[in-house]
Amino acid sequence: MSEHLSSLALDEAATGAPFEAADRDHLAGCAQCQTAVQERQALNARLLATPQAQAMRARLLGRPVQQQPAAVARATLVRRVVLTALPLAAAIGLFFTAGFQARPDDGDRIKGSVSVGVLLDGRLTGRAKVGAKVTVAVGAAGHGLVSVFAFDPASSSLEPLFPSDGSLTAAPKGASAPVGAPLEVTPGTTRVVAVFADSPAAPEAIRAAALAHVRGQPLPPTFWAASASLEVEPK
Amino acid sequence: MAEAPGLDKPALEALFTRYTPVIYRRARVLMGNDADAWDAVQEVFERMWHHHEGFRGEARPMTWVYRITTNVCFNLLRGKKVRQAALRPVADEPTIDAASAEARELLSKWAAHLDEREQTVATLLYIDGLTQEEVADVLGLSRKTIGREVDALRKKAEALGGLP
Repeated sequence: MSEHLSSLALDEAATGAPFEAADRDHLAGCAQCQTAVQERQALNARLLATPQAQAMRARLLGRPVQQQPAAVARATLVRRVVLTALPLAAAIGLFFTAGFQARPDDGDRIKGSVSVGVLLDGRLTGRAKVGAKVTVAVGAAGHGLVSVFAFDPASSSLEPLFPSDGSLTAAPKGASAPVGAPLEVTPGTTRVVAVFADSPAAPEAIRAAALAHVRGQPLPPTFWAASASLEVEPK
Repeated sequence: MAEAPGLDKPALEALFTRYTPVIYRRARVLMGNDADAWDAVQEVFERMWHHHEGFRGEARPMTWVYRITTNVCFNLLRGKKVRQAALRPVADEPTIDAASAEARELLSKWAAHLDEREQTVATLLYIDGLTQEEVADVLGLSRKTIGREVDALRKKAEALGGLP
């Protein structure tokens, strides 16, 4: 495939929707399209955090609207301006959904885009068969701590993977570095969520941040999060 | 919001999270303002809730999203009798692709001369950058049919001042 991905295929890749094998192959080897996917993922995450999107969510799903604290809203505005001009970090995450939160007291200090992906045979993947051995890779974007969870949208259950007690552990350096031991794919584990922080936090707060991310809600300003969808296929 | 038969809350939540940004971005370009774009988002989801079996049966559900979003937007625009504004450039929209912005600007000049179907095809081809095969998938037509329509559109566009 010589041409770059269309808008349709980029949207499919950015949202984790099913898409063509040929497009998937192209994306795996094309840095330009990977960047385009990341840009869309960042845009999508920012859009879902807007008051308008939250109001629509409440209207459609009957979920109460969560107000953005004023300080976070200001930081979001700063972030929007800065992110428009800055290229996104080179972290490769074919199916991650990045959630940015600039710290209100940081002004325009932006560390970059956190990411998480699932590695199968050393390559990022969005699907795996039951029983396959996979590894989680994260891009901490300069943040020092990480906690990884498995989220099952069907049951809305969130289980800690690394560390197993849901606390934070040292994040590996690099744009996309493996973390934790290999995992076996089981039915129902469809989304990996990584929560990043710069200072220790209570497991309850970390879990709340992970849940906020999967619900598309704003995160507390001391957390950052990303997630990767994994389509689980039968053996 | 009416209930969506056969879809539980996590499934609705997952659909909302996955598709809202895509629907909104497309609607924002076509409708030209935030309020109308969000109206379109709501209507697309209402259709998705009530036709979810067909939606889920799609090999590429995103083609359904593109098709229904485009149809909903044109219906809303027709109802508001503001079709002339359908393809106007959106200055404050986060631009993903400068070439697409140029295409939108060119299409806005043609809006008065293209019928609804031609605008739909032109949108998918020149704004979204879809291939003819993808346009055929989105519209549920054969590649041969869409090829004929694209040829006709090209001739009309050339007469009006060229292609992007």
